[in-house]
Amino acid sequence: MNLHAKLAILFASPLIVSGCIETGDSGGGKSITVERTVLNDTGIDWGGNSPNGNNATCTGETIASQDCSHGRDIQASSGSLAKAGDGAGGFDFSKIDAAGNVLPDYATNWTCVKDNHTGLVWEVKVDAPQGTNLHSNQDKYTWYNTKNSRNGGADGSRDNGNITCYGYSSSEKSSFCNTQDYANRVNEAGLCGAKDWRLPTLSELQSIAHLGVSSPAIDTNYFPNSMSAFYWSSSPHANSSNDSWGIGFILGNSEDSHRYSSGYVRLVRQNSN
Amino acid sequence: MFSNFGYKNSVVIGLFILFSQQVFAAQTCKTSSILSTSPIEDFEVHGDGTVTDKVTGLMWKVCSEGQTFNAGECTDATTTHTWAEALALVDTLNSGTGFPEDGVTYNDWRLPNLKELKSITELQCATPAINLSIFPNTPSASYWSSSPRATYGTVDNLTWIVHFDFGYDNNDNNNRETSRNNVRFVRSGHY
Repeated sequence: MNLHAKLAILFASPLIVSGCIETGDSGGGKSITVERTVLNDTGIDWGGNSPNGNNATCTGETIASQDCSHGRDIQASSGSLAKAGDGAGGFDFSKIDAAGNVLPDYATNWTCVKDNHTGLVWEVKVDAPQGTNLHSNQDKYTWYNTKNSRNGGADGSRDNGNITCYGYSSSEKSSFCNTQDYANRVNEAGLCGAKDWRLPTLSELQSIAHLGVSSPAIDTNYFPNSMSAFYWSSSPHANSSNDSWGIGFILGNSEDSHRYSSGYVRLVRQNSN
Repeated sequence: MFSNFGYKNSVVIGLFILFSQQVFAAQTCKTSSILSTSPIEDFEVHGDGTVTDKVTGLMWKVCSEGQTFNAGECTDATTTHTWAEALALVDTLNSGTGFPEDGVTYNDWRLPNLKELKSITELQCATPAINLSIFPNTPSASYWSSSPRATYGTVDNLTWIVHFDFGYDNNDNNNRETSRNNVRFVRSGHY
């Protein structure tokens, strides 16, 4: 046993019992991990000045080091990015019909969007007043997850008593307006030929944020009826089991919110094709 | 190999907590109730101060600017910079010795954009929200991205940052002129 190993036993082990050293856990057990994906670009195809000012084109402070000089967005604008579908900047989306078929980019009616780069398929919300459609863009939900392995130590809020959504009945728990029961209802009904819809992780949700624009920070040519507001992710906040993460789609930033608060939801699934 | 690496880092971190003068709030992780977002299985640790994320294809410097990579550790304190300084720092590195200085040297390092920087947050952990087995001795502090923030109202002087306390990207430390943040470089390739 070398010095490091001895020191580890003497000092390190008790100190990192709560540390994030998965491989240091006794038995070498690994924590469960999310499915990570390749990254979308930000959508920012313009440069910024210092100390202030944004430009319409890719010019600005030490521009060669800025976002707009690298990645899929500039490849798209220079014509060197091959896309299966279309989308702003480096985004590569395809429209999907209610049966799950890929539609041409010029289609005017579509139900879901496939991200050809990340492989994720997204729910497209319907422009409908609150409570009138399963996929209404106005319906809001609390954060609720009964899976102990992924809820950060608490289930959250099944019903905060303040919001109603499509099909809500105070006497039927499965109709409550929360993230878990909503995903269950969508999977019961089916959407775009699939029944494995779920709440996106924070990273997945931010992958479709278009940071080059704001209010809303998303490509509205593919995601119409989007709200410039907070959408829930499935990611719990590590510092508080009362909070979970989401994306504010005014600017596309990460935010945390109390689980009993209401937020919008856009479900996702992994493309199996 | 991975378990050895993690074990060694456990030692390093333990010693660091014991002996460092720098304030270092202990990291806390919820490994059984929150999914890992930056698992070490996704990374190839090269041992020369660089790691490759096999999922995103990005190569990262293990240490933040100001720190020195030495035998799997990051020693010395990080340095903080304005956004303009951070952008220029890339040129200094690439036109100088590059990195790593020994062995295969790369001269195409760059500042990560917001989504790239966010991709190495470990959301099952806090203070810092990063996998310390991959990025040892990362301070629980804010880092610059290369992404200017879109104009909102009349506000046009902000840049996206990631704060590695919990993983926020909407903190206050994002003023291009007055904020001073840490820097970690990335390069493309190894797809």
